[in-house]
Amino acid sequence: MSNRKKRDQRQARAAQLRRDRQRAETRRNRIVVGSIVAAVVVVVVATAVAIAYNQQGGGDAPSGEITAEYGFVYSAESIDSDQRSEELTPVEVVLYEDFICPACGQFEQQVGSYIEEQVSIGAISVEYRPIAFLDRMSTTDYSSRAVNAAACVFDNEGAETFHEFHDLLFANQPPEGGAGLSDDELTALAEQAGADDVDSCISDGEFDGWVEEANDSASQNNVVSTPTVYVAGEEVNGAGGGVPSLQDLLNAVLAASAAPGESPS
Amino acid sequence: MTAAATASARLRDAWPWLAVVARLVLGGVWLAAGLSKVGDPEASVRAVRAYQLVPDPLERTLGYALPLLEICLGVLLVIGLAQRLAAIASAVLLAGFVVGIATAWARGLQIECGCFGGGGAAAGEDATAAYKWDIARDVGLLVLAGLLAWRPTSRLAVDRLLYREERMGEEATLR
Repeated sequence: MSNRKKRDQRQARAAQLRRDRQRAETRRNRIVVGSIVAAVVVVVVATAVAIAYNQQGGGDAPSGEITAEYGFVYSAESIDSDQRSEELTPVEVVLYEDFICPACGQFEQQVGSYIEEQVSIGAISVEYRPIAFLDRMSTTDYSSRAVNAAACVFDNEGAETFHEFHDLLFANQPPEGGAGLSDDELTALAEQAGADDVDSCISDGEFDGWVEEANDSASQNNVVSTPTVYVAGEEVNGAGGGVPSLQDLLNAVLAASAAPGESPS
Repeated sequence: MTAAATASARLRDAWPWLAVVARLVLGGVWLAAGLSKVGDPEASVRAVRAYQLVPDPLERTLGYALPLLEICLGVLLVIGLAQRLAAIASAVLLAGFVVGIATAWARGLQIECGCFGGGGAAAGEDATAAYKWDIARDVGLLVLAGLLAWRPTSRLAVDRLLYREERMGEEATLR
């Protein structure tokens, strides 16, 4: 009887010890697992951030007249227009556009010929700031490839051919959600615009780094959508804050040319 | 036993399975959000920037880090590893998102939340309408995360393989 009691007590004590040990082990495991998981997550995230700081653009800018804001200047002067009127001071228009953005396509359809005509006589000058905000809208990063191609054309042939190519890109704008135009199709359009030697520049993505810098610059200028239009430094919006129409652009240009001297930097 | 006590006992018994559902919902949303953004981190940086809430270097850091952090949390929750840690981190992140969206709303910014890719200016005039739903969704997820952090005991979880006591002492921990 007494022996059995002692044995029971011993067993109970042993069981308690086992439980305690197990509990301690579990607590230890929890801390170990938690630390490992936290460490892995921190390493993964830190790696991503390191990449962020090492991948900031870089690469050469296209040659020719490129502004500090990654713009291509299309003006009577830059295309050496013979219809240029010496009496006019061009009103400065700035256009942020993404080549796959449908609203940009519609905007260009409305304003394209007006811009061409007004630039040729020197009434306005246009600084195109093409950007690639919508790479997710194609399966092949079409936005970035198209801006690179435009930079290739400007680099090789200058403002007038660039403008021609720019218009062709919008006239042949691919729908969102697809593969966009291929590099070969971009090259063909560039040739149609008059740039014969941009094949490798387009397929090699020669200005990819510069395009990334252009995106970043636009975003730092608080450009959050395309098209974003400035006339003489003032943002121009359409009805209800939407995309401006030809009439909105016209009004803004008229207002600016009536009150000159406030051209932006 | 009173009816209320029976109901609460039943809820207690069912919780480990309800927790699985909560984990999968929260984890699934994290995965969807992270995967939709991870391919274009520059767009993610722009989405963060559109909130005009944090200084420039932090915008880049957050833009690159957030999608991966979301994927990590998603994986942890779906497989049920380090559940309490993942749930607490989820709650903190979601609270941050709610604050971000609410202040964007309050400041009159017309932006997309950028929660599942995209971001930047809102198309059309329904930005404010979208804010409501974004906040409602995040608050709902925040509640799930809170529950999981409070009671991380759940079935079908890697944690159960790692911590034997949890299984054995389920009775005790649930009481």
